[in-house]
Amino acid sequence: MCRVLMYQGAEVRLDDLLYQPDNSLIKQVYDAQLLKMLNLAGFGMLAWDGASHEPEMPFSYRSTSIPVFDRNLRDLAQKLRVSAAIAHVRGVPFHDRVTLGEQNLHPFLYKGARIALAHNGHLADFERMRFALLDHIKPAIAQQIRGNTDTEWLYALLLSQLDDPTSARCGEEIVDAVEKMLASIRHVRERYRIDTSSAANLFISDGTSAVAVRFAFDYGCYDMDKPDELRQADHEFLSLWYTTGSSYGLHDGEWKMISAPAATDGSILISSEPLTRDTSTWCEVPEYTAIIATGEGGRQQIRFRQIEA
Amino acid sequence: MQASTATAAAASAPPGVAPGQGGFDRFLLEVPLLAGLDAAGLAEVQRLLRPFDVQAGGVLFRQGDASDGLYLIKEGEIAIMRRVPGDETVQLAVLGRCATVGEMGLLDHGVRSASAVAVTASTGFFVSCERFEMMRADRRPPAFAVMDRFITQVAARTRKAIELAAAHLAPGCAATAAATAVSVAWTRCSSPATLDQRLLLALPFFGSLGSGELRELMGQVKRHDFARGDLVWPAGAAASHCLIVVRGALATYFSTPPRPQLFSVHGPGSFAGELPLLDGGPHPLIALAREPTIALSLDRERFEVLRKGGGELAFTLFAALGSAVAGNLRRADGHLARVMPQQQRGDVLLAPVKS
Repeated sequence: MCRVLMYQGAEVRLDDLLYQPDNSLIKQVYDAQLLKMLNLAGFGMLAWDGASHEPEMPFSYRSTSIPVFDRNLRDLAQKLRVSAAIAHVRGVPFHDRVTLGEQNLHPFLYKGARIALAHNGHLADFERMRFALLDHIKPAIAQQIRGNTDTEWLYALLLSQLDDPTSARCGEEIVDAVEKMLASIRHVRERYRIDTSSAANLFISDGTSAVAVRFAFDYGCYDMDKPDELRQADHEFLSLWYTTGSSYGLHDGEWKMISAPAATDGSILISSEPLTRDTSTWCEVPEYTAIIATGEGGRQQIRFRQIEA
Repeated sequence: MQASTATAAAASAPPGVAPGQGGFDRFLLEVPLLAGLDAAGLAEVQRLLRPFDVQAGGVLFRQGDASDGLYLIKEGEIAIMRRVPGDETVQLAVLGRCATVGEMGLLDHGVRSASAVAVTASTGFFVSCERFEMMRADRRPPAFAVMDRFITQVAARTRKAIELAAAHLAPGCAATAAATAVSVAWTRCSSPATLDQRLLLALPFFGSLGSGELRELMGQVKRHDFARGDLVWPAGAAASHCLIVVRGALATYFSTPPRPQLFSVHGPGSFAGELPLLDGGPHPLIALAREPTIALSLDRERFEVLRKGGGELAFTLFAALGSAVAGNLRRADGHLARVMPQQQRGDVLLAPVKS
């Protein structure tokens, strides 16, 4: 069911985010602590480096290879220093109806758009409702859909809520667009009488503002006529955690955020589960809540907003 | 002097127990957690206790450790410290004589939510999770009385933690709503017999019941259906039922202006509204149906009958309630950890709480 991390703040080496902690994103491919599932369907990442050419455009890396064995990724991660990143390992059910391919890897960033999106979750009965979503997607954006994941359609819907997807947005505007996007999906679900639990944890960034959303449609709702098919995922809310500080790194033998005296929060890490087995410096994002981090003057303004969709 | 000491001891001894008798340390009579237990209950507790002592600066346990038991302080002071994002440390409380430390893990087997460090050299007693479980598995009436007392005290602490979290979320406002006579009529009520038992047994809590226990529970509850957005109870309302969610989700909120803020979400197999039934206070939080929800209600009268213990269902139910109460306490602590660093930088010393 995927694992995701998002970072924003002081420059860090990508290897320190992806590989070093004892519950790193790469380790979560095969040994996630809060998800009983392997995530073998590929890896995708967008990373922003302010010193690079056209800094508002991120580096992009995507591969259907299992990232544990990807030497190219490891070499790149050891060289790159980034101020923002979204990285995603894809988990899918193990059957032949699933399509593996680069077009289905997260995060999604369309040409010309400023914001990127990755998703942890699954929209129930998506195949039935997919094309009804076209009514809510601008044609120019719909033309860019290449894959068959529910996530890409969420992304297209999100961009369609913005007046101008090519210009920068503040965090609150992004959350406004998220609420409209979720409302559109709820409307289509109601039309098709889809009422079973569908997790939609979202990770959205443009390199300056980071928004993560912990949300589910019809949480706790399952098909009561099929008691033998009831799964743990039907009654657990997908996790979302964060940690903040003035900088991230190896301190006293631990990978963690620390706060320097008299300093303010300069960095934030948001992920599906904590990157360390010691979770004492991490907090959970409450359910049905967005966490918004905006970089201003070397610090992260962090706010929480309840999602009403 | 001896006469007045004997008189004082007689005044504080449980009924039927002469001073000097009972098979338990007289110190237990002072402990609020154990107030109301009779001699048999106190003797039951005594069997669980092992002495501990720690020097000033010594660590009883660290945040994130697996919970191994509860500490009962006899002498000295123990500081409760919590790490928060940014690797800052917040001192949540300083506890002294008769206070308990680390009780949550006994109820829900979770990890330590904070560290406990001795401010001064301290002594007292330790109750291991293992021994507590053995007492619980024993199913004897004194064991049930101890468990009930324990859960009730943790419920009271949970209420205080919720009030503290509310105060930090909305400084200057009333922490939680004052008691009110307003209640909400639940209109869609039916028999639980409409629910497939195979379905229930696949859910948390229900899955821990034997078939006989499930039948007994179904005979004592009613089914209620809530539409998304339905008000289940307002903050401050007197509690007449607790709910067990079967499908969907209930959410509880702080009554903070200008809009309520989410405290917790309760999905299938979860309890809601157990706190007021345990400690007798009003609902501290608003409850709404966050999703279309089916829940089973247990009314106060039947709750109190089960509370007196004696049957398998009572033990299983109260073990689950203990876990639910501990979960709410962890949730309140989590809100505090999330809110406090944003309001106060660096180490924060809250008003010390001494019991």
